Amino acid sequence: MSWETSERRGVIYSVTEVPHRDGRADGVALVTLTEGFRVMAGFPITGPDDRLMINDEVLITIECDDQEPRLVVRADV
Amino acid sequence: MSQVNGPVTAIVGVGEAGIGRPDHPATELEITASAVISALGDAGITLSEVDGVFTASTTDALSSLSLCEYLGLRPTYIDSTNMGGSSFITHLEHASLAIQSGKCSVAVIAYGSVQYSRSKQLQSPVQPSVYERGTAARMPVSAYALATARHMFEFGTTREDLARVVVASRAWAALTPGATERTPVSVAQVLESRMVSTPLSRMDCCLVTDGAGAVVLVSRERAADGRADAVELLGSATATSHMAISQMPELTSTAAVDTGRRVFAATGLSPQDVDVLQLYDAFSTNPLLFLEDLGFCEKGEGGAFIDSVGIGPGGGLPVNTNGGGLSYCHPGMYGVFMIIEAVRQLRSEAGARQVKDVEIALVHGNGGRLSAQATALLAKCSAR
Repeated sequence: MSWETSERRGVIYSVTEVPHRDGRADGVALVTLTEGFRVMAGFPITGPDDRLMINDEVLITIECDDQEPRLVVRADV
Repeated sequence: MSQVNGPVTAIVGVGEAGIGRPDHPATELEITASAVISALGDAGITLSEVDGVFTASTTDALSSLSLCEYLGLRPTYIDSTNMGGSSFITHLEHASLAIQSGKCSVAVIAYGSVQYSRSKQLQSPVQPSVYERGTAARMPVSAYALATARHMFEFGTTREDLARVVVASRAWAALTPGATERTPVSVAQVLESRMVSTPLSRMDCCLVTDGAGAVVLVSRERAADGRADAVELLGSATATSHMAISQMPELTSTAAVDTGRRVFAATGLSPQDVDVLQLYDAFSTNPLLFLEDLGFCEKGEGGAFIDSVGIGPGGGLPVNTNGGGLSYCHPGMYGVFMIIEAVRQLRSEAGARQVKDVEIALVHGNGGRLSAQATALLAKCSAR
């Protein structure tokens, strides 16, 4: 077994949106990383421009603004 | 993984208890024990003869011990294998192997839950994967939504395709006394239902109910001395491909490809031989996926197949004839109820929903996040 550090770039394999009762929505994506491993990451949706689609190229960042680190995915532009 | 190449065992009794959304709930053990007593009565077998116990629970890690204590049993064989909703089809396989090897002679497979009465929510003992933490995913719905979205992307499957599964489910439930949701629905009503995790709406999701079920399995020789309409286990197979949805190799293809291939090969049967199917419908996507993976249609054609053949009452391929997890009941794990419905169809005891001339039934269980798959073929003892 060996460990490898990901470059955190990848392609969206599938995506779903979770609507909330207050009208907000959150995106949840499965991202196939360039290294071949697949992870789940989230993204906030405040408008149509925030939406991510299957096959979009994305970058994952790690945010630690609460107790547990979160994987956040954004379009890799 | 394991499989049974039968027939060496037969189901001689089935029973249910506490199904629905009761006003005055009992405990899980009370309704599970009631289902066991009912199944044993159906079989004409006394409680003292039970020497094999097979159960799983979403709330009690030692459920087999709890059930044995409650019923006063001292079995020689105990199995608490838990692979989610598919567990009980796998229990059928394990019980058959245990009987075949002489470890027990009267096996009871049982499950019960009062999740609706307790919390009004799905109760799941599953720990979140470290690769899936920190998102807004609503599990398990979002896991199935991701698989559905990928199927739509690759094959053009539509929400209307999924809605037709729900419509068929309600149509069957309308014919089933005791089903939790018996009001027929239209495709439009399913599409207008509140979205939970795109593309799955509330009506695409299984019910949250209470309920318990039990099955009694004995050797084929013993079954021949009992009731005339015993149901043979022709063959069964279990497989897994992952646990977390992020680690599923391909979201559009489940390990049912493996279990279906093995169980048909072991029995010498094909999908064309099957008269009625019970496919674990935790979500409307599932029957569509399993029809493809078990070989009833080509990969990607599940939606069109359901539309053209028809899986509801009067359709060409009857699926989930009591209404399934979408309409009959879904007390956390549903697998045991699929076995019970298949037995009722094979015994011609299904009343208004009875499918004509049923000789072979397929039961397919799903567990986790499309993670565990288990398939069994059942038949009238006189059918082969």
